[in-house]
Amino acid sequence: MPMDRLEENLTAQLRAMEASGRAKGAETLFAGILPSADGKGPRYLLAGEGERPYLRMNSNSYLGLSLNAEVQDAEEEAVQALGAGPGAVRLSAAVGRHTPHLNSVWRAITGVRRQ
Amino acid sequence: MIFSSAYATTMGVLPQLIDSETAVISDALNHSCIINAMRLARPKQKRVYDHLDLAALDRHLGECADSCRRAVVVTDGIFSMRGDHAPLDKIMALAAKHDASYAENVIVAADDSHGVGAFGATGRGTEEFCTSPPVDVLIATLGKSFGINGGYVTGSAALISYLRETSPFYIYSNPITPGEAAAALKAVEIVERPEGQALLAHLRAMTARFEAGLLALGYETIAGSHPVVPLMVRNTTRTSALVAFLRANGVLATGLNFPVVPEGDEEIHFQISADHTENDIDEALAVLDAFVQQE
Repeated sequence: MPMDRLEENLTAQLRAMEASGRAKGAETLFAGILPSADGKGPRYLLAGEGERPYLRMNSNSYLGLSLNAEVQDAEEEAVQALGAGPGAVRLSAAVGRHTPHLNSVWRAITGVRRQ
Repeated sequence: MIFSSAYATTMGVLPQLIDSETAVISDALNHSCIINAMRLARPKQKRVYDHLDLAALDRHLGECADSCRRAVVVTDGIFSMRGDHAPLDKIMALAAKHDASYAENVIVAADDSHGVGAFGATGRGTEEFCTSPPVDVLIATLGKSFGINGGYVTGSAALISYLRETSPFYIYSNPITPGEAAAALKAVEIVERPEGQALLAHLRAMTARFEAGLLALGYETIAGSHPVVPLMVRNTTRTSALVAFLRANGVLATGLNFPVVPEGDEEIHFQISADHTENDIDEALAVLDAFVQQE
């Protein structure tokens, strides 16, 4: 089916967003992370920008735990034991293969909140 | 109860609690997920009060009591664009004040995705900061302070049992992965340990250093201890120019223009991390100083 008239409309909307400064713009892709060194925190390498390091001040990882070795090891061990990916939606019994992990997280969160 | 994201949690929870006899009352600066969850729901009354205007919230709760059996007050804990917070203690007090006027209660739902882990004396979020009683429905994320992925909701056993059987974003959508669940569990454990509290203390120190530096350079910010530090530019063109200048000088930060923020509130949205060192903060401030000098 032709989409030319619809696409004309969609493109016009995008152009209007760009012209007014409201467009999100191209997304930044990380190509690598340099570990902390010389009194500086981690530096990020961007796709297409070679070895130029960037100081990242737009991360949601407020406590830096996404780069924590214990956290990374825990994820890797679980992937080795239970595989990558979620397996299935909740409606399916297949989700049960990692339900103990989910339940543990849930208990930890609710326990922390009640203290 | 864990969902694939906090956005999915909000979309999966709020419409299940808002029926055709419900008044939903929302802060004007609530996150996109709350706004879209309200659109998905079909409340009898939908009221939006000016940001943090609790007198208006009080008025709306009073006005809707005659026509609605239930009221749901919904707010962010931390407002992610500004780093400020909802006074949950006062909102809970207003809910209690009006509760008897509604056949099915006034409940308070808060999305504290940016607060849990990063705000409050021990990182337990906006409830802790405000010394508030627990809100009735707390939504948050595993994808910010905990550094992983996924969202969750906590509440009474009856509430969670109901949601597990009725929330389509829970039942018919993927959960988080085993790896994410194991990593999140470890992250929660770390936050509880002295190591986690040390990370929180360092995060606070870096946040204070950056805020003080902004003010010393003559920039405007919104004071607070949360690691979201907005540099209020209040101009779309200058916001875009400053973001480009920061990037050209090796600093990644996000510019927020209308309609992500209200017109006149255009800003650079800095997020401080416990990964940052004093050198990092000073490096970013030096770039911001250079921007002022070259203008």
